[in-house]
Amino acid sequence: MDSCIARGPARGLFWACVVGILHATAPAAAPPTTTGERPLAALFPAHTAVFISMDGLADLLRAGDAHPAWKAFENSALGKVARPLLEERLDEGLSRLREYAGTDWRATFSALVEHGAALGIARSSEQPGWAMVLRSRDEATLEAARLKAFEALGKQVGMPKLRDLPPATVRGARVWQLGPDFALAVRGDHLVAGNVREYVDEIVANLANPGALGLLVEPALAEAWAEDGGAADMFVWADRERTTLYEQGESARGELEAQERAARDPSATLLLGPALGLTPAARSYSARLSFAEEDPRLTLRAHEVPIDAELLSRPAAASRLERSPADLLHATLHRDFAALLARRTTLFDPEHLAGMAKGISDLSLFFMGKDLVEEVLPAVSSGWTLVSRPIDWGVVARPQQELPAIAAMVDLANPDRDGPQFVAAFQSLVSILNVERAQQGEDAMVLELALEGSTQLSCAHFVTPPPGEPVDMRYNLAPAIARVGPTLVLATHSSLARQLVRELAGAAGRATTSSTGAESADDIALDELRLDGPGLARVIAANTDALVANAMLSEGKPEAVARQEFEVLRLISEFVQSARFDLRRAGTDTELRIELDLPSPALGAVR
Amino acid sequence: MTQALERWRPARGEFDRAAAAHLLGRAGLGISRQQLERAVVNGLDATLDALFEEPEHDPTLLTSIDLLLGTGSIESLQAWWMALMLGGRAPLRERLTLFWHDHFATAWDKVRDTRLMHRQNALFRKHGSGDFRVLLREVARDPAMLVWLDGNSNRKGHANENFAREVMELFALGIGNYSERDVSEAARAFTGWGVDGRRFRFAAADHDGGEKNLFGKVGRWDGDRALELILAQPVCARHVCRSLLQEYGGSAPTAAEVEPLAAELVRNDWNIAPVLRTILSSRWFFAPERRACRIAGPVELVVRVQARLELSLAPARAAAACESMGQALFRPPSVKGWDGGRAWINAGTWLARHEYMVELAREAARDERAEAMARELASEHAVECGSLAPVEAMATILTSPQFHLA
Repeated sequence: MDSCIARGPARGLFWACVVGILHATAPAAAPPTTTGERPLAALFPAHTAVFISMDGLADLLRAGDAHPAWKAFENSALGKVARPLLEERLDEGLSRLREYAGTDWRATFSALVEHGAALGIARSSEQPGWAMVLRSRDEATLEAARLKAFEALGKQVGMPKLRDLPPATVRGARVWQLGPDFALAVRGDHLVAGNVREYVDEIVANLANPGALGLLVEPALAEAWAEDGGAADMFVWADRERTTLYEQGESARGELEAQERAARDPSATLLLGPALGLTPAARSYSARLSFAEEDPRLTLRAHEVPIDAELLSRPAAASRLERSPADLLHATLHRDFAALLARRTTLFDPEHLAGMAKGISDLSLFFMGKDLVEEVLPAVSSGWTLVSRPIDWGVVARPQQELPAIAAMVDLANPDRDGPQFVAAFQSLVSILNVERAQQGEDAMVLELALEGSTQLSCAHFVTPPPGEPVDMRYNLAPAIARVGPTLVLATHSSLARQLVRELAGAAGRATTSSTGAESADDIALDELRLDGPGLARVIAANTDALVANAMLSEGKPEAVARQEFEVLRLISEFVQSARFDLRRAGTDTELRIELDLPSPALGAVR
Repeated sequence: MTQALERWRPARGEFDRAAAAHLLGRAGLGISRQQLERAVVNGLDATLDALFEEPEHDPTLLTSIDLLLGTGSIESLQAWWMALMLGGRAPLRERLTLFWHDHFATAWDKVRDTRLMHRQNALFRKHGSGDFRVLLREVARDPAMLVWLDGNSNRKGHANENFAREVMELFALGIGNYSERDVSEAARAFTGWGVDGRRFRFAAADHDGGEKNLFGKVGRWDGDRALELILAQPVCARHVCRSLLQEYGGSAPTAAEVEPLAAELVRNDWNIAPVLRTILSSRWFFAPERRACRIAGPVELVVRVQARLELSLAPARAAAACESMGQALFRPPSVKGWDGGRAWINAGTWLARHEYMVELAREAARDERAEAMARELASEHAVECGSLAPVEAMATILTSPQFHLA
């Protein structure tokens, strides 16, 4: 055992302090690992592009098929399909492992990674490199495994004396250079292996220096890793710039700039919001996977999204609409379109401004000539609610491809004054589209007024096709608009608009509730979006044939391949119970957090 | 058959790779190396037999568009047809379908209905090698054509001459073979032919039942009878054969070449297939001046590159590339179709050709046989590539002017 890397509570406390100092905004620095070890991230050099650590690997290996997470997976429909495929692909690897370590290979390998395993990739010496670190049960276990591996390798390459190959000594570690592209180092109970010697040596140097911070100097990584007391079965962190440059070096810098330009595209900003739209330009990303029995969870985060904080100055308005089990999507979003458009000349590239000006001018036509930016949009709250549900077709012609309807709800500052002008704009839009369609010989939409309770809706729909004629996809569109109290409802299908009118009318007497959870001055929820996995799986299942045909024609995929891909997508959607996207502003940072609810091993099946 | 289109009976070794490539390239759209080698081994007659007895398309691919028609996406329809052509199962049939699409040019831009465009395309595929009279009658009642040439506004007392004019000028007779009076009288005969939803409808109330004088014959002609009178004009068979000779021969034919073929067309009950076989097996067709004598159209070029380099192209991308090169499927620029020939090339379309060919060269260079393939192509097209790397050599060949000749 190397005396420099002592273990125990004292060492754990030290690292907790380090991580705490590095991430000053963390409410309380938790111990870095559950075992009090130095985080493996501290061993990898600061220029690492991608870092993956698996603290739960030993448990997974030991439990094997009996691991609760694996049980839950294999009991799911996804598992039933994926397991044979996985086994087929893993068969060769597993048989080699058995050949090397015998039938008890799980015990052997779990001992090798008893205290964690990590993988890093980085560009070193102008070449893409990788390195892994295994932290084994003890020095003797590791040395026995190394000797066995050298013996097996020696036999394979016809070098029976490989086992006795003398190592070089680097900072107290024994290092073997096995060919031009593989180096292996052992120091105490740590094994380091990689394809670029310089990268391996840097890790060895950090291993020898108990004060080295390594990759922990990255505040985002340190903070993300320290979450939940550093307890994650799997943790992944990637630096966008380094990952982009990893393969090709500086010659790929143009690609980085293209990513940032694409993120600043006005349509992305307006549709996704400034924070989510800019996520592709975030400095780094992290993911945590937890197999905790009661609450298995995958969390993805984008760190340091380069957003103009002024655009996020107001939190999302609370939603008055409760989530419904029928919701495929339910989102509360912060979209201050008036502020965004008012500042368009400084926010967007000049090349987009002419198109935006034309769009603003065209839209003003529907609002009786009122200025969209100065007069119309300021009357609309910055808090939007989006809801998507399957369409209740009733007696209406059902299209060959059924798509879910989607509705947007937003409060008006002065509903009695502004409500009618939005309804009039909707009616004008339908009328103008009808004229345009008539000019092209296409059929028109019928514009009607309808009542839902005491609320009047303006609805439009295509004329039902004659019997025997196919019902095209456009019949998914039967838009409607209505106002319930202060809330304007605009839906792609009147059946959804009617449902929402009923629900909003029912909720009108209730106090406004926040759907965004606890907030503090430093931690403000901006957007929250929930997707229903099984619901999306049903939409995919209903449209699989069309999706397959589209993949065949647009991408040239063979039918069987396309069908398998969509089946896997459907099964994944079904497996993921729900996905939750939270966009928060924490201090001066913007953070996107994606959480996927996975089937609970405790329940033993897909919920 | 007369001297002009005398059957070619190649001596041993005369039907070589170059001759086989010429036949398969013109009769179809693309040709793989295996097809080429098989053709050389099998000889001219067996190769022609195989061409005229080609199998059906893969049914999955053929029907793959059905569920996407409802989306109204013309891009999907373009990709689907491109997929059929790239699929290579029925090259002669698809070449004929493309020929008739150009001959009876109808554009989605005005029809605005992908189902109607798809139906018209199926019509060309079904009747393309059959009886021209049936084809013409079907086209005259085709809803896409009726929308395209304003059938619905052709009413008694206010005849719209668009269809009548084009059926004479472009589809059946050719300029100079009819009078203005014939056009206006035929237009009266077609009054009441229109579209209801997506179906042909005859509106009796809109039909002009009066007497018409068409090609000197007087009677109460309706649309069907007008078509019969048009088909009865001796120049009709000549017009069809002239178009076929131009398409498959690559240059404007002489009257001596057209005349016997027109007689053969009538003798064969207006069936296109035997006439086409006569063209493709003639000494005239294989003459050196007919080989690589014209600029390949974008669709022909793309399918040819794909087949020759054994690439697997995404149909949508290939169709989009053809559009940027000047040939958007289902969207011919006018009722005259594509001008073709030298008109395929201008600064913009050449740049588009260059860009797509470089893209395909990169794709082809990933193949482990790229170097050998590049050598072979360089030799076939007399392109000097020196010691260029496969990707550069391939790009040099694909962007060379001679590669764009067919």
